Amino acid sequence: MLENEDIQHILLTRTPALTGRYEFLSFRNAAGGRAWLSAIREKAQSAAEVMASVEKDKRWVTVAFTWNGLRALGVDEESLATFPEEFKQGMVARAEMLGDTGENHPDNWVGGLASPDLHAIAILFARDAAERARCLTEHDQLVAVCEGVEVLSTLDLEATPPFDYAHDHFGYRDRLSQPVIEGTGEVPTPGTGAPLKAGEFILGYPDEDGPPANLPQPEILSRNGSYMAYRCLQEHVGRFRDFLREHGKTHEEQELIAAKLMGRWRSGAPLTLAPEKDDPALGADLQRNNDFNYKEMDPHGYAVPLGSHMRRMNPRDTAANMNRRRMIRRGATYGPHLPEDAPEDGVERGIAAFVICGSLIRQFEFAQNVWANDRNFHELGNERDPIIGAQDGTLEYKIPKRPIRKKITGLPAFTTVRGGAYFFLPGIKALRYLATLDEVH
Amino acid sequence: MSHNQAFFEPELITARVTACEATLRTLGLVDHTGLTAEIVAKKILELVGVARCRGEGTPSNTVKSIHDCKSHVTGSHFVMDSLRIATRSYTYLDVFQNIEGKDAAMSDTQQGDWTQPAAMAIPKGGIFKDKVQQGRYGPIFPKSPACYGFTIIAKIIPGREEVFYEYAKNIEKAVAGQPDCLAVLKLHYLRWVLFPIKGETYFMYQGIFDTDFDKYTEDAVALFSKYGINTVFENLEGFPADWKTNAAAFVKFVREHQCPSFLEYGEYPYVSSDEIKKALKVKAAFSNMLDQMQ
Repeated sequence: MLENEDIQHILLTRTPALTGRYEFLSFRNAAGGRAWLSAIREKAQSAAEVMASVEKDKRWVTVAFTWNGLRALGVDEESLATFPEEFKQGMVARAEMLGDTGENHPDNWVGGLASPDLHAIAILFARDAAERARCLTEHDQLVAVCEGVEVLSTLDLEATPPFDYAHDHFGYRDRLSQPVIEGTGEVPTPGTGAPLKAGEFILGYPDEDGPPANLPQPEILSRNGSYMAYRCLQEHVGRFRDFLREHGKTHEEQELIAAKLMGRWRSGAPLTLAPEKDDPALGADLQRNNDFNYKEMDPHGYAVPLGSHMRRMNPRDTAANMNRRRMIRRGATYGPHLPEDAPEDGVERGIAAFVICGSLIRQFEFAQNVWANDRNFHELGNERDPIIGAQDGTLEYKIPKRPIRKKITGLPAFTTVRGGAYFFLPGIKALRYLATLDEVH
Repeated sequence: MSHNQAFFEPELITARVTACEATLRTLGLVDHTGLTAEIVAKKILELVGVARCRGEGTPSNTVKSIHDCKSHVTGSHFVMDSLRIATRSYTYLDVFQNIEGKDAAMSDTQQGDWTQPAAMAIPKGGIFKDKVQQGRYGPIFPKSPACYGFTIIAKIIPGREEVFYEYAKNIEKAVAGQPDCLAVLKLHYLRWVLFPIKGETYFMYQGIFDTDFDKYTEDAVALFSKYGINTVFENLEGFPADWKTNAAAFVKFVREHQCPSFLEYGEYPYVSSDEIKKALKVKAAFSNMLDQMQ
């Protein structure tokens, strides 16, 4: 059984937040860092708590640490050495392999995220702006009394209108395909696949390959924890809309181009099930909108292009060992909405999201390196993921079509990486362990 | 299904069926001026005999009749070296795009011309220092005209030779039982060799494949246990006992025992296994089509 009372809520629950804030922190001394953690861990809810009280709660807090952050809190070298290599190195050191080159390179990141001084993140999801304001005042007061704790940067989150469903600034409906964890009682929607062993996402449980292995030590630190890859992606909405206009004469053609890049219409309706025309009712219907495969339904990509974002991020029945590559996504949009008819205003907006997984190298890094950025994915020759791949204007995008495919050359970059980091998301008991490290020794 | 549709079988289209230069010459389309996609399409369709279905006439500056066309096809260029059909510089679709004036890029074949055999001298250590590419588990050995590959050489635990011969039969059975069992590794060839040095037995495992090994490491580890490939590795000195749960330790062993080439050669360089299979499919499809037209 899952120990829901010891698992931070972000791993297992979605909260009805319309706003929020990330605070990126550095600990100049260990005692100050632990003092901060002692106070904030009281606010960090477990999955069990959120499941019980989400309807009345107004804010939800999560905390996580980089490898440098664990050291800064006083975790000893012996324990630090037991963490996986990719987590120790951090996202910056892995940049080239992840495709973070050119504009996406850590040299261009903002908010101190590329710095080794990045130690922790406090994630606040709030029901409304008033609650966020109250929480951040409280947090400012906490930081002020914790010696050596410095806020490197913050990012305010804002849902984008319309608020009745989750979507990004490009307008694509989100949260349609998420793996289900065995033991949560959650019933997978049709097409999602059977529930996966908890160890794929939560440390200390059997995974799809067998009993847990190579866990960071001591056990109290790793149990019920997980890893989070943070990605802050600026979305170039003006550029995206210009692109659609350039490649589609009518509104319908533009919507089709947008759908071909993603694999779904912006309504969420998958092209496998609605190849010719958008079907918003299908897009909104969780019982139907994920119920498809590729091998039988679309082997050549006539509906969902072989290189589309959706097909790369989850190749379903066209990749081996899919159960070992799944990821949980959480996060939010930031920046103001750009109205449909407005020209690009130069204001930054995008997605600030977490990929949660039991192994960064096997899940997140694989998806990034092999699925998003392998130019020869599905023998495509000269493509990367059209939404999140490393695009420099020299690659192409092929849309299979009878009798003749459409080939777009010089695909622009619709997103730019503005920051990222690898965090360890401890369990609730592990937070107490970290906060009291001085007593342990 | 009409002939027209048959010609545009999805497999043929996505396999990048080409109207290569030779084909264009066959069509009498050496001069591209004034051509439209429609004309080219019509001519190709005529050439393979489907103009009959469309009930349209034949432009006078090309082959004169369907009859001529059929004999022309049977006699020459269509059923020729199928690689030429599948990977020639102009893909069928690019021809259309070029004629429409969109661009003349030939990105699909940027890796090199398969018609020109090529050799590559590789520096000591197996990696070009000035263009090292990083993979998830460390630097990646470069792609050569003989694609990606590895040569792993390790000493076997004395007295275990028989295990290797048993293992060979098991692999043979596994592949016969499920022919696509190793598909994920994107292989061309694997070779397993045992040889003696000063009375001790060494094992050489050599593979040629289309992707750098780093990408599918975990899939390889999963295959190892699934098909019993581990049995042979577990009889090598120094193979990590926890290989199954420790991909990094597995990779370390492989890297430590990898002997990179200092020279590699390809008769048809950089062509992937998939390209070859697609080309053979195209060839089979054309043969079948010609049979149907008799």
